[in-house]
Amino acid sequence: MHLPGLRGPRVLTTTRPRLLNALLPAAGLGILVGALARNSGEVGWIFALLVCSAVVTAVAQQTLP
Amino acid sequence: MHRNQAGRSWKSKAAVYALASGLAGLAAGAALGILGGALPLYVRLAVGSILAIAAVAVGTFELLGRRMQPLQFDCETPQRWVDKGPWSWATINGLTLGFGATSRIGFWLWYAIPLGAFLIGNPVAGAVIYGAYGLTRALGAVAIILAMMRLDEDISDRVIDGYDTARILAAGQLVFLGVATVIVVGL
Repeated sequence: MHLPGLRGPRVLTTTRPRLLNALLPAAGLGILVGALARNSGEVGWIFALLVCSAVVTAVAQQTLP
Repeated sequence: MHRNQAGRSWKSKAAVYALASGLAGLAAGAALGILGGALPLYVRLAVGSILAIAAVAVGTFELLGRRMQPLQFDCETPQRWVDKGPWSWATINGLTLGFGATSRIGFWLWYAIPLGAFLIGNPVAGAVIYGAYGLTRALGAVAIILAMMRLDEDISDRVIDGYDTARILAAGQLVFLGVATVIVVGL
């Protein structure tokens, strides 16, 4: 697109597509695991997901200043 | 782990730090599991359903780029603890970071740990969930120190630069956990 004050075409990029791309796999995986857990009738799936969340949180927190 | 703590006996300090962090998580998780076990299952399921919907909503907002600051004490562990000596520092810092609630949390996903340990209503399961957090948090710092020693360069800025990626990862995990929990206990 042409932007005032800038010569030639410019492409505007945002981080939104990347963020959106993460939403669909996360929701899809959630539906898949949720359906598996519901059919198996075990709480072990949710327990495993909570342990996984704990590990992901701890790893993510390494990036905090 | 603070950069200036990597000295001659850094391995033993790192071990104390990791042990304290893991123990803090185990103790907090077990206590929450015992407390949660006192609640009837239907109450825990109802609360879990509401929280799962909230997790999906918050995670979705985050992934759509609407940054929401989690409720937290926005501070690091006090620098003056370094003056208490290496062993005391490793122990206190490990206990504090393994518990997590009294310093910067940074990600909404953190709340899944205490709430999950509480709502699962079992001290052993609660201890495993929270203990995994405490141990991983400490070992992550140790891994960064090891990488800095091996590469012979300060990579802490590069790690901090990964915050945006970590935010997407944490928000994705929050949606994943929330959707699965809603299907299992909420529908």
